[in-house]
Amino acid sequence: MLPSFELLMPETLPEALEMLAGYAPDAMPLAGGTNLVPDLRGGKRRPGVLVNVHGLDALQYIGRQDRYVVMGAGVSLADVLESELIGAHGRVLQEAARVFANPLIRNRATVGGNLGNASPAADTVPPLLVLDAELKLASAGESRWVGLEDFFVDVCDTICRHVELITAVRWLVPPPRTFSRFRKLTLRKSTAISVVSVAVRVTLGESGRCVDAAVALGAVAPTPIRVHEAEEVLRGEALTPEVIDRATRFACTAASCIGDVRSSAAYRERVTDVLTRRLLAEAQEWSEEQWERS
Amino acid sequence: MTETVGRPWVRADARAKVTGQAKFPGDFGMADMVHAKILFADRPHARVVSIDTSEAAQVEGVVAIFTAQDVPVNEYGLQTADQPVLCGPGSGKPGADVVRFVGDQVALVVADTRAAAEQARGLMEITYEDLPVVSDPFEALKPGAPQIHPGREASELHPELSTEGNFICHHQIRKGDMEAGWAQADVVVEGQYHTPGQEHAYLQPEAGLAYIDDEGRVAVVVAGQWAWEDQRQIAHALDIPVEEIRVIYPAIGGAFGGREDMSVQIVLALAAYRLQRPVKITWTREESIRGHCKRHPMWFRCKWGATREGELVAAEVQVVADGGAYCYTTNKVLGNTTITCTGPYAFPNAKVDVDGVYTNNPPSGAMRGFGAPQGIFAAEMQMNKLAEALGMDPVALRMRNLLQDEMPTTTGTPLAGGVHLQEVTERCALAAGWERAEEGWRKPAAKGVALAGRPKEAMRTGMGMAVGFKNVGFSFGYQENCWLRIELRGEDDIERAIVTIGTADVGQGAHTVLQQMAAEALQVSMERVSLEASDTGTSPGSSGSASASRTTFMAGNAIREAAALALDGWREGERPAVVEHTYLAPETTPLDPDTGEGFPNFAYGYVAQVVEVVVDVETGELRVRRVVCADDVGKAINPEQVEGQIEGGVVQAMGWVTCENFIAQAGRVLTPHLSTYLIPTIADVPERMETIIVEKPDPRGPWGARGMGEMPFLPLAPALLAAVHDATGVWIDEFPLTPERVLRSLRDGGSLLECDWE
Amino acid sequence: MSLDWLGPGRVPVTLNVNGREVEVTIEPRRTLLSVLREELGLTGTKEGCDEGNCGACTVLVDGRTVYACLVLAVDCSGRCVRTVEGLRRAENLHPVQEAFVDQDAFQCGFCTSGQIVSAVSLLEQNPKPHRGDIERAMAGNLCRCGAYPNIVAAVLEAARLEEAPDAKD
Repeated sequence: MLPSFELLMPETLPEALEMLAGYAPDAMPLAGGTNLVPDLRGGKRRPGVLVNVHGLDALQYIGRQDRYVVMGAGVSLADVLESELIGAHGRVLQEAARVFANPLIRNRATVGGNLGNASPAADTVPPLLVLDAELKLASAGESRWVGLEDFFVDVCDTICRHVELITAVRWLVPPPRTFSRFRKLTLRKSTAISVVSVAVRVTLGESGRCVDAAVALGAVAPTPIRVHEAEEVLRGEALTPEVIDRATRFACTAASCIGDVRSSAAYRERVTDVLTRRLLAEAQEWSEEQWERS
Repeated sequence: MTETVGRPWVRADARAKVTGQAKFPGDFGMADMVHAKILFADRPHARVVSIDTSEAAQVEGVVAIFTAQDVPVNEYGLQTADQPVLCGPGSGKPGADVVRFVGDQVALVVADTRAAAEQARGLMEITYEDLPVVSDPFEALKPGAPQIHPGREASELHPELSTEGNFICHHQIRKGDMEAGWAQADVVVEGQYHTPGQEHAYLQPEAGLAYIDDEGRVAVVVAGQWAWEDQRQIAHALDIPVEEIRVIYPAIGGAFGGREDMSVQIVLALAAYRLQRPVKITWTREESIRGHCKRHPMWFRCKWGATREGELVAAEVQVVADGGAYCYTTNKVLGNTTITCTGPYAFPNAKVDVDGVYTNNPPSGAMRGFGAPQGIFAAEMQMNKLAEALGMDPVALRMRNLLQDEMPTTTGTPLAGGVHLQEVTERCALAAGWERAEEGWRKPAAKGVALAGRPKEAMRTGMGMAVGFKNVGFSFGYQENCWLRIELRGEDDIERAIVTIGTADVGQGAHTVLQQMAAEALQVSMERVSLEASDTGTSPGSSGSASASRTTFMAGNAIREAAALALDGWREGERPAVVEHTYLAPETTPLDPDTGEGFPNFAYGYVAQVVEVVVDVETGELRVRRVVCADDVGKAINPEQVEGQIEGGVVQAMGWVTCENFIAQAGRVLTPHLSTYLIPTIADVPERMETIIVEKPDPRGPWGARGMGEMPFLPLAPALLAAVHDATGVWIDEFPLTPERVLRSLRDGGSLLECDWE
Repeated sequence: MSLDWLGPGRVPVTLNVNGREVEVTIEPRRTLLSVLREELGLTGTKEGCDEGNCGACTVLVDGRTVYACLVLAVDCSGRCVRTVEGLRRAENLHPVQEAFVDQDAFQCGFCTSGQIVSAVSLLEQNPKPHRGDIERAMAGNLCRCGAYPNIVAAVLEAARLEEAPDAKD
């Protein structure tokens, strides 16, 4: 049995934001509920008021605006998986959606909920980090865009204020000749929390060298992280084994790994190494193909 | 001949189960019903100093709160009554005020709604005095260790139960002359092994409804494995005659041994009896994982010797098993470990010592295989290592040493019912690709594999094999028995045959198989047989437990004998012809306490498996590509269900070896959810599973059938670890094979198992 | 602005379950699972973990599978809920149910309702699934009896039955 709460059922986004403002800090938004409902049951969160934003039309869109791919925060992981637009301009996110829990969770879990829950192992985060995604945080009467990298503070803690709601996510359409991929290691083939997850984006220039790169890790620190030192190594370089090796070593250094029931810190570091190296090696193979094709 | 036996009849309950109409214990409700919640100790070792119910009692809707002082005889247990029904002061039973593991029950709160019961439970004030916790069986045996059950008395019924320290029980075997054995040995292999606990994780958590039935009895609708025994234990604790308790099993959502011991039965009956109204309870998943027993974690120290030609000459095995806080069936489980830990081989010289130990961990009890998977693991690891040390093919080494008819086991007597270990081994090996060449058996070369996103050089493939055997039925001197009643109705022809039996269908399909066997024995069609099962109200006799792979064998023989008697009556003109009958299995003897000599079991099943794996040597991840299983079932009464049991057993064993990881620390359970205790999903099953049903009849089995439900579980662990060795060159002597453990073992060149054996 | 405020006490909610409108008066904290089982008597949907980890409570909401234990019942107001009890076609079993019987795709049967609902949803979206599709689509439905190989076989058979109802092999 869940603990008691009041449930507010806004019909529009402005209503929802007013409700959040009216009941802060005791109110929380309820989206897909796949994290929040178990958390309520287990006593991990105890809001007195829930504002049901699940199904609000204003949060349910995936589209292109100028140079951005933009989606409402209420988009489900199943929607992400089925979106051709995201397939074309955010493959790394779609790869994460494909291995995100299972269809039952994907049908319900939302992108906004996965971000707002701020689990270190949230699978949408490393992909969105390497896409340099921004989040729209809205409150009654105002809104702001923030970089995803600046969003997380600690385990289950973000800069989102009690009166604010994540309403949208956007990223710049990646330039042509961009490689982006996601990998995770889990303790079961399906429906298991990531032990380590890695996302990589590499954009090639005319010369075949890497002009831009991003590497992000999940489940190895209190929040998912970008590894800028690794990106520095890759930028402007061809993806030689030596470059991949140096970048990978930075990824491992950045992983301030945590030990828990799933794995030790040392193993997480090891897996960070392997997955990062493999993704960069794949990027290298891909870049060779690109080169041959051009 | 009606020929109902040997055909794939659709399950009797199939339609009810695919439409959602089958009722499981949590699906029942009654008017005027109240809801119960159990307050669990949630601490591993403490004395309950006082219980204050005053605040909880004030919650609106609370009907009653029961504590230790309300339990007339505050003790229960399948083998020995060492567990309080409710822990706390005031019951008059010495030691009942102590909680010994986190799942001990302290109070039962009953209210109009589930929510009120939960709320009131949260307001219970319990004052505990924490006691020192011991969660490692090796620590528990040291002088000065906290004593879990001081002052135990010897048991006449179970002489293997110990009264000393934290020892639950001891078994031993002394056969032949060990010194002479070692003198003959050209090769000696020593190994240490650890097998982990396992959570049953049946999908239906414990639940039940108790009420006063039309005849004034306390009826308990619940999922269990042995209704008659549930009834006995409830009556004992409530101190009322057995006839005043009625236990009914509806559809049961899996059991695997985990429902052999009590969970909600006694407290539900107590509440319904005291309140004289229906009481319902449903455990959450977390309560289920904390609240019921687990498979025994075990530690092994083995030393085996063989001649250069590969003849086994001596085995020395020492076993320590963590029995947890209460005995449950530890003494019986370890009986099986005692006879399986030297494998299905003819050892002229053997020395085996097996100890069960009390700790403050969740109790260990029955789980599919009942001590045999652990014993077989150690034995078959030793065997595969010996094959390597001798430079022999693992199949060849086995063919040379496998027990055959009339060959004595370590207990000095042959296996009963025909020994077909060579057949299953041969059929399995050939199906898996072994070649039987003139110079001997030859293992097929491993094939490489390419997996997307993984570098080819990191992927290693391997193949391993193992053999297993296990007894059928509860024995070791216990007179196995099975009661039933047959009633034949009609005038000229038998129009209806009613079979009444206590046997539980826990999902294995027992009721379908019983109906098939009754139709066959009575020579009537399936439609004319109706089964009235799993209700002590109609089955006053004990039909025994749905465990130990015994149901088909025991109930089948009972049906055969009773059917013959009923048909005699029918032919003499009895209308209806009614027979009540108890089948008695062939006699067995307990193991001699000094030498282990004896004739412990009347029937056995045999199984061999080959497993193929692919290991990612950079991450430690592994994937089971193929499992070949040859299982001698004697006679497949229902081949489709037999196949289901084999596949299900393999999947469950694979979970135990790979992804399942029950973690308790200082007696506290760290994996009480299905998000942290990971059982296999549909995506985890082996890519290919091939089952070979071998039918070598047991002359004393019904239509030749042997038990088979547990056997497919047995050899998977050692076969899989042999496959990992074949792939990587490293022996890993413990599991689960989390990627981390695999990688660490690859780095260290093997397991680094360290136990305090002194 | 119309504040639609529910609870914490009981509120009336209209649900469409298996094609029928039903009204229940419930607290907002009640999950769809508890309302189906305890208010509507639809006990075919099972409570196996009540935390979204097992799939025994799988139902369809607006044609998509969800864990009924993770969904608030009031959030289903105005949506179409389908449970295992609503799958039959007149007196006949749904082809997926028929195939589960035929392939012996369960043992204890506790997970079966959820498995069948997931399979129905899969075939509605993908009438000709391959084994890999089935593994991905059914990965949220645990079966501790390990009937998985037969579940795969049943889904494949159901796909054939749906395609050519008389072509039962």
